Amino acid sequence: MLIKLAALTMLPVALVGGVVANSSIMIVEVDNPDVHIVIPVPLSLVQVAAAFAPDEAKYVQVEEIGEFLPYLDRFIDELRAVPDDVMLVEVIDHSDHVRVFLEDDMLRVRVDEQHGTQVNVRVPLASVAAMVDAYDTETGTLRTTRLIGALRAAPSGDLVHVVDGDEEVHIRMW
Amino acid sequence: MNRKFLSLAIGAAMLLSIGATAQAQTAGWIHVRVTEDEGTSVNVNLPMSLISVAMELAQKHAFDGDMDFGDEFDGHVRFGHGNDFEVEDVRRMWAELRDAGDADYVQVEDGDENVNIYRRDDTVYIEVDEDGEDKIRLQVPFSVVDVLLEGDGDEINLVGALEEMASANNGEILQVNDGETTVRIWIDDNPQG
Repeated sequence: MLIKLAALTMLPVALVGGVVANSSIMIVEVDNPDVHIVIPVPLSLVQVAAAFAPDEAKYVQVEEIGEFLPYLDRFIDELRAVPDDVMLVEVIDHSDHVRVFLEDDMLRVRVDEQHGTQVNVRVPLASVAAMVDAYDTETGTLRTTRLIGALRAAPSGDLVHVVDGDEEVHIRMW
Repeated sequence: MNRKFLSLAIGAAMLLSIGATAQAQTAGWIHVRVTEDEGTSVNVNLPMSLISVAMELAQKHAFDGDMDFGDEFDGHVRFGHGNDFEVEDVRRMWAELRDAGDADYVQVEDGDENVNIYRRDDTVYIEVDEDGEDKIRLQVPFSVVDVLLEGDGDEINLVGALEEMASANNGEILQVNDGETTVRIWIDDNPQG
């Protein structure tokens, strides 16, 4: 009896653990001289939780973006046809350097400023495509559960890394 | 950088980018290079197919109906009726100029600024000098204007003109040099230019 009770008690924990174990985890890390914050966000768990959210949270009305999404879809297709490492845009202004290029199905933006600020952004094209799919053209709504699913499509590694003096922000998939 | 010069360069790049769009199927690349003596450089390499999508988007949301690229951009641009000029008038004017032989079309001397537009043989030359330093040199073969103005009504063939310009100048679209800044726009099949 005791074993059954323990098993029943542990069931939700095991379920949550199983979801987390199979989840892409987004890790948000903020570091500055005063504080160091690390927030792991298990996206599967968030996606499951979002399914139980009120409809206002599950379906976000954004009719105005509907007409742009087909173009975004085509942008992604065109970008995917671009060979890796082709420098799409490069701006050098004295010691400041901005680069936009494609690498491993990701649009990469790198900014290096002379005063030490660095911005490194990787936008997975698969995630952007999935975000387009999250839009319901009939109702003009974005389905948040599918948006979260789009984030899960991101490969592991850095998504955003900003270093500005003593401050550092890191968003990565794990 | 001279603001007027930069505005001109960006304007030219945008216009030429518009014209480049319908070449998407050729998988060509348009390149823009801006280099300043004081150390700034801009380097853009974009597949024309990508610009084509951008222009379709711009057609619907940016130009607000003043210019019509058609439902599927085919390189032809139709001007709306709210404009101050009619393409048909430009076409007639061009026909007159074409038959007139060599001539100086425009000569403006305003202080340190000189603008000259003239024709020699089958080429129109556009030259702008400012303070004896700013220099814009643009050579437009007659065939480019012929292609640009072919068609009827308020329609011009922007892409055809661009292609003609590129083929007449070995892919080169525009080169501007003001002494401090150089701008080069060209088309080829090499992603890196």
